[in-house]
Amino acid sequence: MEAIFSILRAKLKENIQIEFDDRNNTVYLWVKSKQFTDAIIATPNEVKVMLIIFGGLNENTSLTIEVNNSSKIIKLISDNKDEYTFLKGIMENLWDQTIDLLEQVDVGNFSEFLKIKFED
Amino acid sequence: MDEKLDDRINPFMEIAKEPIKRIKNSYERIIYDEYVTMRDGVKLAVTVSLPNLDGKNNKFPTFLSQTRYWRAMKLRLPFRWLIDELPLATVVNVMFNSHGYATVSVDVRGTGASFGSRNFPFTKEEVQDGNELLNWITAQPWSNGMVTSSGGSYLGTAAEYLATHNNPSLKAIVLGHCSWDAFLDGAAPGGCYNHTFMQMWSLSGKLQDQNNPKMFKQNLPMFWLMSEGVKPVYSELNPNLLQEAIDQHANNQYVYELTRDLNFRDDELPDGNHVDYISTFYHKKEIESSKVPILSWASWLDSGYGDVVIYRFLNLNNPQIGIIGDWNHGATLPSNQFFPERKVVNPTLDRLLKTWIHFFESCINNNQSHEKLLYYYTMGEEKWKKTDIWPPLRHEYSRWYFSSKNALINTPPKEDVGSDQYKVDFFASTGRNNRWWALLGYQVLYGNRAERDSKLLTYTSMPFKTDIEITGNPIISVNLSTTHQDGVIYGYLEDINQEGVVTYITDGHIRFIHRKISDEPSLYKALIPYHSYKKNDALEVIPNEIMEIKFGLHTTSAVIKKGHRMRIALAGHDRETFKKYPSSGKPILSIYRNNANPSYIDIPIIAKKDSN
Repeated sequence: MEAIFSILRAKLKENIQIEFDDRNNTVYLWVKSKQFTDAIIATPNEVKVMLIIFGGLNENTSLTIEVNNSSKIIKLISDNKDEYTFLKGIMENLWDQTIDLLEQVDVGNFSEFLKIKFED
Repeated sequence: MDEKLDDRINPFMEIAKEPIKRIKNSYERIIYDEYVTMRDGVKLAVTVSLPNLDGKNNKFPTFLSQTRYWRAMKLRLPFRWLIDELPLATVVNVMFNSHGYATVSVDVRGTGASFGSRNFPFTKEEVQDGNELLNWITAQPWSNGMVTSSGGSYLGTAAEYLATHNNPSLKAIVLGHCSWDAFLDGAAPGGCYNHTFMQMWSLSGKLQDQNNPKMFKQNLPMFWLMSEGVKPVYSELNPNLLQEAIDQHANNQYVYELTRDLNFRDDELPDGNHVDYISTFYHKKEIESSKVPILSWASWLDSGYGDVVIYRFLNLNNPQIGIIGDWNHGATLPSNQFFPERKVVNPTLDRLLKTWIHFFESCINNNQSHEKLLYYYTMGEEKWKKTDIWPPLRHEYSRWYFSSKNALINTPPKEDVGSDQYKVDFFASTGRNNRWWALLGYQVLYGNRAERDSKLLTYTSMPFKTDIEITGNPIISVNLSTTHQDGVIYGYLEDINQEGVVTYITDGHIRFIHRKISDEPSLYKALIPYHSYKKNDALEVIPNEIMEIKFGLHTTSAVIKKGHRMRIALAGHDRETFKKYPSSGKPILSIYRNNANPSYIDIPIIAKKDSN
């Protein structure tokens, strides 16, 4: 599993590009993975769930999520500077945090997992 | 060769001793999903993973798994953007594909992304689907006509049912941690309803059948983090296929609702059958007539599944290898109670998979020996052993009597009177890390039982002068009376070291109404007193009348070291696991220990080679 996590961490950084537009309080996620060929890359809700589980985003945070399936670009638009700053903090470390969480759970460390505030 | 004691014995090294040939491009795979239509029109969701040999027209043996726990998962973001399946599935499929096997994973009818509904696990229809799937596989252009099957728990039972069809394409099965007698291994061990397991298993099944991953959050967090539901079979023509399948699952029935009032083995289920019908022992003749080689493996500490490996060994004449170790349900965690600090399970998943592939290869190439062989791990001694007979050579029983002052001694009582009273403590519990919760994915960790034993009636030996190996089924014989018309006796066999740490070895229990030792031939060979658990054999419990009750504990293999003591702890309830008997009242049990009504435990020991 360790080897798989390591591959996943590298793949995430290599294949999902994150860019920040500070002036417009917007984060861009570009899914560049050639392996992923589905017509629909995500629903806005799926993106939000990802940010809640792996980034610690508050479920009530107002965030506009626009998914462009043809360009495979997802726009995350915050309502104000404060929320944008928080979102930017999440996105800067999102992939490391994601894999760190998997690694912790894999060895039976559930302290971060138990902090997740999301129910299916 | 009857028995070998050898440090170097390790089934996972012996069975998989030669390197297996890998194919080129071993990590390149072709994965696709499709629906396979059964004879009655029900569509089963299937995921196929093939070695990719650059378009060459190769044919492969197939590894088939049938599950009720989702054949594949739809991954959450961001994983779905990068990988096709969970890492665990990747490990399994890559391992088989890279050794030249196709893999086929199936959602059984009424579950996952498959259509249909089910009123019970392993219905006639579900079992018959297995045969159709074998035929479907062998008709595929990539199939070489040979199929193997394996899996743990439900998937293992599904693999065992495949052998009932006598389908020539089935070459070998590996049965991991799975049932033999659904009444005693799962629903009602000792005739006591396995309340928590049945309820939670039903609930988790219901959630999964409605495509809700919620149940994973508590039990399998890794799955929950990575998966949002079952993997659909995509269709551009009908994007609602998954929802249509899930809608049909609304007609499913679940075992808890159907069995929560189960008292007897022959209680009728709603379809007119009884629990035995969904037990594989009931299909012994068909399994044997298939002559399919079996590798059966489990743990001493997982539910009753250690016993199951022994039952297959004793009862099926198929070529067979049995392996019983010291891990949890599915061998993902260590569970040796003598070493609770261990964090890593041995064997690794990689070693396990290689062992199964070696076994399959030997069967496909007709190199599998036709003998029976059983590997078992002796806890405390920390040694693998192997035998072709069970019980092993030099097995004998040593009788230990319950005596005054809570002593356990090996001489019969001389006194005419002698008994101990035990007011049943309905708060007594083995906790949530016992052998039955293990079925729900929990670690097996009984811990130091000194505190728990304070709620029980115990009998403890003097320190042993030499190491004693206990291998087999301990058998308790008690003369007891109760103040009520129903009840249960639980017995825990324990080791106590010089520091007073109480370590669980094994346990067993029986509800008083099932105490009759049946005159009928037993349903299958077992090395413990035979209770039929049938309605006609139920005996009334008359308050304050002495009953003789004999029952077997789960089979085990462990060493009590020199200087340690042996303890038998008796209880009347296990609160977090089993249904309460009687449902109300505060019964007092009297355990008699006099020359007219002795109580004792027969300990199966392996005599030392040089002893007489």
